[in-house]
Amino acid sequence: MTAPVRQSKHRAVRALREFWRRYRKSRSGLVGLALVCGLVLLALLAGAITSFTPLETKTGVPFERPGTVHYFGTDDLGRDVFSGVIFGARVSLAVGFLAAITATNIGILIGALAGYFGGWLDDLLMRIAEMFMVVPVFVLALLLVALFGPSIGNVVIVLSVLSWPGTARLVRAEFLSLKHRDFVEAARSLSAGHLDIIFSEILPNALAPVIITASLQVASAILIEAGLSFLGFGDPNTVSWGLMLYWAQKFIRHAPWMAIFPGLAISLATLGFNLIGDALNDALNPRLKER
Amino acid sequence: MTQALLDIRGLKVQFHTSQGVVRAVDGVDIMIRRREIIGLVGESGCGKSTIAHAITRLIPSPPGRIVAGEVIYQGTDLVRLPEADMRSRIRGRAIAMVFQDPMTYLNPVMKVRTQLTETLQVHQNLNGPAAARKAQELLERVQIPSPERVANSYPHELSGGMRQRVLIGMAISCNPTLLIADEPTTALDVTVQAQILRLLRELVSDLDRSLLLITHDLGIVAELCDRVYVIYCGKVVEHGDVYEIFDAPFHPYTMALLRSALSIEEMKDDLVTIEGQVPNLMAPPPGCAFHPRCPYCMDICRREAPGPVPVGDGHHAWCFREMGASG
Repeated sequence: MTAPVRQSKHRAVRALREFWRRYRKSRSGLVGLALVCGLVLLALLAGAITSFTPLETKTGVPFERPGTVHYFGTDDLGRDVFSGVIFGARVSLAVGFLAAITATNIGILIGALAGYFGGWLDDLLMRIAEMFMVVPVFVLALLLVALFGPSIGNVVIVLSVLSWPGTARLVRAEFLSLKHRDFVEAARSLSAGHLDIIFSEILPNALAPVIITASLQVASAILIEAGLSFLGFGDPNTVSWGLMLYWAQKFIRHAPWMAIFPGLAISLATLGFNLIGDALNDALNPRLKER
Repeated sequence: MTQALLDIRGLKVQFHTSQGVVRAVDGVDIMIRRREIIGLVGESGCGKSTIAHAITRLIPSPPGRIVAGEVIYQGTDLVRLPEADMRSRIRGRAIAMVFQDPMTYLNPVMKVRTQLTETLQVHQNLNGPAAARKAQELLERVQIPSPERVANSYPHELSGGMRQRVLIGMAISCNPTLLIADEPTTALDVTVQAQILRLLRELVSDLDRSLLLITHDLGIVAELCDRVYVIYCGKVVEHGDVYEIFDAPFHPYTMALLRSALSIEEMKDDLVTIEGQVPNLMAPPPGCAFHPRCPYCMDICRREAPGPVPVGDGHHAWCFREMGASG
C-alpha cells in the first residue's frame, strides 16, 4: 500500500513544481521573495546576529555614526540602531502576518456567508463591509488605538477588524458565481450540508485571489503599524520600525541614520510583499497560465 | 402487480419569474417499480429535468416551487418530508442522481478520491482508511481499469467517459434504491455512450435498483428501458411498455418523435422534423398543448385538455383521436 502514497506525494511535488515554474517567470516576484525571505531570516536569527538589544541604552556614545561596531549607528540614548532594525523586523512582520491572516479569515467567513446565502444576509453584511470601506482606515485605526491603548495586540486586532471588507467582497463575488456551478448541485444531490458545500466544495475554488490579496494585506498592515507608531500610537515598550522613526523625528537633521535605516526596512518589506502579490497574481490566475 | 417504489401523483411545479408563471410540470403521474428502468422522453425544455429535481426536492427555490402533488417513496411523501429528513434519509441514500455533463459536475480542485470519500464519510460514518478502501471498490464497480491512478487524479486529467464513471460511482456510493440519470450520455462519444449505458443496466440488475432515465434519445430508450413516459409541455402525453410505444405509438407527438428519430437512423436525405415550436410554457395553448403542431387536430383539441385513454395493455395516451377517427 505504499504505491498510492508515493504517487500522491509525487503529484503534490509536481503541482508545487508547476507552480514554481510559473512563479519563477516573474523576475520581480523573485526579488520580492528574496526580500521577504531575507527579512524573515533576519527577524528569526536576530539574537544570533547582534549582541546588542534594541532597548539597551548607552551601548556606545549617543549619535554615533554608522561604523564597524554599531553598523547603523546609535541614537540619542546610545541605543544600537542595527539591533533595533532587526529586532523590529520581528514586530513589524508579526503584526503584518497576524493582521493579514486574521483579516483574511474574517473576510472569507463573511464573504462566504454573504455570497452563498444571499438575500437579506448578503445585504446586511455587505452594507457593514461598505461602512468600513468608506471610512479612511488609518484615521479609524488611530482613533481605536488611542481609545483602547497602544499595545501590539490591540494594533493587530484593530488592523484585522479594519481590513477584512476587501477580502469579504472578493470572496462574495467568487461565491456568487461558484454557487451555481454544477458540482455544487451534485454535492447537494448527495445531501451535502451548507457548511460542507461552503468550505469543502466552493472555498477551495475561490482561494487564488484570496491568497493574492492576503500578501498585499501584509504589506499594508506593516505600513499602517509603522504609521501608527510614527505618530506615537504604537506600543512604546516594543521596538518596531515605526517606533524607531518616531524616536528619530527630533534628530532627523542631526542623526539621519536613525530614520534612514528603519525607513529603508519598511520600504523593502512593503515592496517585497507587493512584488510577491503581483507575481502570485500572474502564477495563480488561470487565464494567464498559458502565456 | 409489484408495489411501486416511487409513485408520483399529480405533480405540479411552477417557476415564478418576472415575466410570469412558468408551468414547468403540470400534473404528472409516474410510477416506478423495483428493478424497473423507466424512460422519460421529450424535447428540451419540456420539464423532464424539472421532474427529476422535484423528486429530490432540488428545484432552485425561489423561483421554483412544487405547488401540488405527491411523490410517494416507499410510503413516504417526499414533497412534505422535512428538509432535514430529506438530507439524512433520501438524497444520496435512497435516491441518487447521475448528471449530464461529467466535466462540470465534478469539483475541479478536488481529487477523485477526495470527492468519493467525502460522501462516504458523511453518509456512512466511515473513517479515513475504510472510506479510501470503499472508494477503490466503487471505482472498480464502475469498471475503471486503473482505479488507483484515477483516484489520485483531478477531474481534468480524466476523459469524459472516465468522469461519467466517477460520477456514477459517487451516485451509487451509498447504495440508493433509485438512480435518476439525467441525460447521462449526452456529453459523451457514441462508443463511450454504449459502455456507460451497459454499466447503468448492469448496476440496476446486479444491485436490485431502479433507474429513471431522462433522455431525448429514443435509441437509448429502446435499448435500455422497460417502460416509457413521453412528456410534452410538462404533461405526460403517452406511457406504456417500451415495445408498445415503439410498435404502436398512439399519440401524434410520440409518432412524430419516432419518425424524426428513424429518419436519422435510416439516413434519409430529408430530416423529418416536427412542425412548429415547443409552446411557451408561460402561456401554453388551450386544450391539448400539442394541438398547434398536430396533423390530426380536431375542434375539441383546441378547447379541452384530453384525459388518459387506454390504447393497449398498460398503454395510455392523452389524446381525443380515438373517440373521433379511431386508428
